[in-house]
Amino acid sequence: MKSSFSREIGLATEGAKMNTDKNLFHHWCASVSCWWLVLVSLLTFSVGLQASAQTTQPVTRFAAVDVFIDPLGTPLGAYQVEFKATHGDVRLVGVEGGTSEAFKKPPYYDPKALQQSRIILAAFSTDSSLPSGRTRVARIHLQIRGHEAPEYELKLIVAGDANAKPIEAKTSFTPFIEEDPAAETPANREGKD
Amino acid sequence: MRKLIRKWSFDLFALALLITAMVLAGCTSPSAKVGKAPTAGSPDVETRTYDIRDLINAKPDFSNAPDFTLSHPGAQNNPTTQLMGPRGMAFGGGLNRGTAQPPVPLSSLPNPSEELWIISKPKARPAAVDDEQLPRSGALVVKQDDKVLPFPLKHTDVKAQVDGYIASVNVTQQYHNPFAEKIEAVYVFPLPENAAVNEFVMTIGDRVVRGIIREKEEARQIYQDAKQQGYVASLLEQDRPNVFTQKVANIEPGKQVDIGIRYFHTLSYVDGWYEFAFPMVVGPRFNPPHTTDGIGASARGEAGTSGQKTEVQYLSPGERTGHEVSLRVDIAAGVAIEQVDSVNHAIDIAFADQTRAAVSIRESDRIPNKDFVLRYKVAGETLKSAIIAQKDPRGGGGYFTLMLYPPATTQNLPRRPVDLCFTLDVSGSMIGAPIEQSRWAMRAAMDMMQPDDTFQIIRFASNADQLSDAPLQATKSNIAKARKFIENTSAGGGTMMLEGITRSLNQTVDEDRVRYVCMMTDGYIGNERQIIQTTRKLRGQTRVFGFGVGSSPNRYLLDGMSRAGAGAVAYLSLQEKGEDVMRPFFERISRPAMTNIEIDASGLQGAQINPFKIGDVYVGRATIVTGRFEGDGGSIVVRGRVGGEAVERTFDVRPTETGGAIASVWARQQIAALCDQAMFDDAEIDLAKEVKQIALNYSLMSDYTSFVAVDSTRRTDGSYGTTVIQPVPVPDGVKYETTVPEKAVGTVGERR
Repeated sequence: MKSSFSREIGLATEGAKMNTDKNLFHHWCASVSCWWLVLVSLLTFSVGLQASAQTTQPVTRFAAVDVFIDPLGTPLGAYQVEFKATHGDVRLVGVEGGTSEAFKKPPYYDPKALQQSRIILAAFSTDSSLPSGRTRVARIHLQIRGHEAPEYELKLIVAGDANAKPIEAKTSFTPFIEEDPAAETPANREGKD
Repeated sequence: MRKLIRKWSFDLFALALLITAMVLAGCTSPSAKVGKAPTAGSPDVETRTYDIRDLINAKPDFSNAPDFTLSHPGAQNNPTTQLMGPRGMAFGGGLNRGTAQPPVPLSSLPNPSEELWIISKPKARPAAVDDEQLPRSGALVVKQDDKVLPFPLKHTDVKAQVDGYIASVNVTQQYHNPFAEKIEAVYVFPLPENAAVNEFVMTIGDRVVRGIIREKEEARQIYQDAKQQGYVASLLEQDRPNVFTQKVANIEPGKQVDIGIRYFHTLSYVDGWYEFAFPMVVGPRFNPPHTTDGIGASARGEAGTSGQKTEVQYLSPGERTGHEVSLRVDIAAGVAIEQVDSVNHAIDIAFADQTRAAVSIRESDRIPNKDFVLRYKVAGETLKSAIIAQKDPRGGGGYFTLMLYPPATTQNLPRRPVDLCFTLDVSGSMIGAPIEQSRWAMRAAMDMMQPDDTFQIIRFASNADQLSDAPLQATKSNIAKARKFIENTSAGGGTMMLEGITRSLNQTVDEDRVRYVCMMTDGYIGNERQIIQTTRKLRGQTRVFGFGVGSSPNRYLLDGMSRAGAGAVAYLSLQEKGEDVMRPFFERISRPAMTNIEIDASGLQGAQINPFKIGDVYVGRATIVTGRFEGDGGSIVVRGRVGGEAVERTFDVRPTETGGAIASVWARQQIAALCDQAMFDDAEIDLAKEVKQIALNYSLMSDYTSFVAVDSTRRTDGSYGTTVIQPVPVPDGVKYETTVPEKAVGTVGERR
């Protein structure tokens, strides 16, 4: 056992220089690797924290919703609707008019009823050609904050004919989708000049 | 074991390298959110910042510019263009009209850390070029006879409808981008101090977006988000009740965005004339050292040098921007109109019938460097107790406005001895006509003094001094001494008005005389609130009268001082003689028409009356009261003293029509009254909360609310562009050299 041990020692002694170099290299590799792992872990943790911070910060985007009224065949002379976001962090940032000449001007809103994501719109028209079919009466510009998908609700408060007599009507809304710029009219794109 | 260790070491090393590579790859992945250009409808927020290097290839586009000849500023006879770098370094040049510019040399660009490039922001100028000839702008500079500079604000159109003494005014500002890259336009402009701004629309092509009233900070955040994401957006903020800032983001090259503003206000009634005023330019103001919330003045291209929160850039003499104002006022007086007159502008008048007239500014007088002041006189006494009431359009109750007219003359009013203190602004902005007019006015007042009157003169610029230690009896020798003092007075230096008003109000009060302080100034200061507050605190039994001189005096300051000082205000334009205004003014203050006025509104359910306190009524100056009530109406009683006698009069308040004009006027006055209450009386009210509530309920601009409008249907391409600040001319009669500091902060009057 002893000689065997001595032999082993002897072998070790013979290859001591080479083995020592290799061991040192292995130790160095292990040590460097450990430090790399520590650094990488810290880096990963840091990046994760940043990413986490980024996801908790509010993200914002802008969108528009088109509001339609169908007066079911009766010429539409006036309307009042309530629009609100029932889900999501939504802010109203502008109100635009409709497509028909009668309701082209942006409708008025009741400032007293205005909230962050609720608005009551109203308009009337004395135009000679009032729409009697489904028509877009307003476009509502919105800012949406956060990742939650917003949900909206539209209520018709009242619709009237040319003599301000209440009429039956249906309301609907659709998210605005940007048209193909190539198909867009020059008026939409160009300035007045 | 060693093999295991060795293997483990290599495996660990390889693993570490692999993880490192993965992490690094992840950090630079194109799918990372940071720096990603957002797409329409994407929830991503663009986080990239922009610097001047984005503008390296900027090529100004003059295809839509007015038809002027381009000329190099230094070579009058050789038409050229010149593009100025933000540090005033000239490059390009020698190009004909409409020719694209060469790229900006990188060496002329500022430090990339200067994220926001203000087009007109020179810091140094090439020594080889004549300083006076060198435009200080990053904009293309065009020159004909005058330097005409293409800036975004092309035109302002004003259409006003006057019914009785209530005006409804629509202002349209046309912003056009003459440059080759996107811009944000910024314009600081004035409106009447009592304007109730309640409508804001943004027009892009044939599409009109109505703005939404929001709390100021929220509106600002929405605007910034929209601007950074490339949406066309606009923001209207109130800096003072009579000073506003308009911002329009992402105006694309060659495109135009119109901003429409509507407001209501009551007209003033002066000497039998109704007066409609539309201010056109914010005068350069002096801000005391160490203040930052004032309205600063800077030369065009010297953005940020005033150190004030709000800053107005002024054009040098001989420069123009091409911005002009067209204005039309339709008057429906209700009774026959006797006479119509414009104080500062050439006008055309067309009468539809005896009671209706249309007034417009002549084309030759459209440069916005002086207030438009229109006066009209009606026949008879029909309107002499005018009360107008409207039902609330939102149902329930109504609003009224009452104008209290004084007697036509002072003939039957008793005179009381006065102690008159002239407080004269002799700062740099008063040099020339304003100081000369003030001298004439003071001489006229002294000529009218009775031997039992006393007087004092206090003058202030960078500091204050006075004629004598105590008020002087109005004897001939004392008046001669005062005249000499006035003649030896010259203007120059800063405007330490606080020292002037403090010294004026700290004088000893003579119980046998009515004491008046007559503040003669153009009011070009930025610490208005401090002055008004001091006036209220120190006035005691003294009445403070504002006497505004110049073509565009600071009416917010002068009106506010007079309100706080229970006095009245008079304005003297450059076209008027000082003595012509001072003589009746002095005559009237020595014979007040009605004092100790009280409004009894117990006959109106739930009445809220403004103003809370009513000053004395003088001949020639009417007082306006507005109120809100519940139910169908009722009556109000006005009580006061005329001479030594108590008088009272009852007015019926019964609205027959529905409308929003008086509601807006009342809400605006309610806000002003709350601000006065907080400022004058140190009242313990949550001012911000109360003002915000009223402003949001009535859709009104205020210190705490702003209008914002965003067109969310389309994102413009590229970065949000360059901010271009619209410079304005100094008011007519004001010397640029003495009012617009070149670099230093708070040095009005000390330039050159």
